[in-house]
Amino acid sequence: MYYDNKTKRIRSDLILNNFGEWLKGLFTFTNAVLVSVSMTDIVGTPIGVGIYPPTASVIPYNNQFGLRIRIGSGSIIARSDFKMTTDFVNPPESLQSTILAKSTYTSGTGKITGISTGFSPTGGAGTIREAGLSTILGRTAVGNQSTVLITHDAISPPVGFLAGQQIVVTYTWQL
Amino acid sequence: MNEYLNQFKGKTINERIVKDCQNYLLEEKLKVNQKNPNEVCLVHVEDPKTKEIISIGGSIPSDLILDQLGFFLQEHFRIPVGGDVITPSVFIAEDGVSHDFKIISANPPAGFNAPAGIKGGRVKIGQGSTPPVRTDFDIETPFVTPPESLTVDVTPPIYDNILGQIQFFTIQQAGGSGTISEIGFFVQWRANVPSVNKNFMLAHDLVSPTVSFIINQTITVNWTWQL
Repeated sequence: MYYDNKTKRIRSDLILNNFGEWLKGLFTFTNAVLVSVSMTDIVGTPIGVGIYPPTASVIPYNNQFGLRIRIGSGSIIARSDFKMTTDFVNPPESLQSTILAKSTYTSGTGKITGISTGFSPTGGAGTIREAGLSTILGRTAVGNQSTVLITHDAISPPVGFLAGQQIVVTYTWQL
Repeated sequence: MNEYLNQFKGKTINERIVKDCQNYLLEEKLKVNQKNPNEVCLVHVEDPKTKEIISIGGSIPSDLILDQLGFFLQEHFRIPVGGDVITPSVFIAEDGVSHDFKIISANPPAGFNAPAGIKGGRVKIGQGSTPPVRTDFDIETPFVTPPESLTVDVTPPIYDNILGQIQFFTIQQAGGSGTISEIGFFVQWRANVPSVNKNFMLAHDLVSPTVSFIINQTITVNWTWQL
């Protein structure tokens, strides 16, 4: 996390608008009225996501859920991002997701940490300049789900890799 | 901090004052905790007729986002198994009783956000002064007279997609008199077993300078979460 004393802003790595909308939904008070927020999925499609369903017939976001981690070679990030700037060409590093082990929250420190698995062995060579967390969310129709990006970080210095190597990504959220 | 906020005493409350004070509190907070997410709140008491600010204070920079939000996010930051339940006793409701949640909801919805009753954000003020710790689950010393003794529902939050801020507020008419020195943000969620709706605190702040009120005055809390 990089804090810019001049602009009074966190710069370089970002919690995205998608996460802000989700958290806004959770903080909304409701009395049996649907709370739904607008997010943008990984291909750029606006989606409505139900946070608090008013009846059992309305499917909430957590009907489906699962965190993924993504890497890419682009370097421009903004809060409105919904995907990596530049994906890699070869799998598995080109795949839009890989499975995360369960994250761990440490009481007292306020830190949530997690680690990626699955970027091994790399299928080609490249340079990692960006990483992000994405999550699967259920939509209001049974069985429907979307993937949305919730964080997008620029990586510095860039991390080079060759074919046959292993890429490991760890992340920490400080509350 | 006291000097900055006290300059607004006697002035008529408006959006500009609220925004300036929130930005000031956020900058003071970032001097201590250079990280996001972060949260600050502004508390003021005004004359219900003239809207004149009688007393005003803000969250001190050492306040905390609590363990309960951390554990909640932890359970989202994973590949889940359907119907996942958080380990019992991690979450402690406002009344001190431990509960677990279903984070991933089956059909029909049965999770923490399942239908049945009210849900979502609420605020409670108090008169305690002990520095908050991450394991807090209620404010230290509630007031005696309602409505200030109770949790108050928040207005629909607004997400500012330029600043990355979630903003909301509460308003209540004082039923008694007192001095506000602490404040808590709660969410009402549905516990798993027994299936009941309870208030769970996610943030606990001390307020400085303390904010005094008497009966029938208007107490307003503006809260900002910075992502």
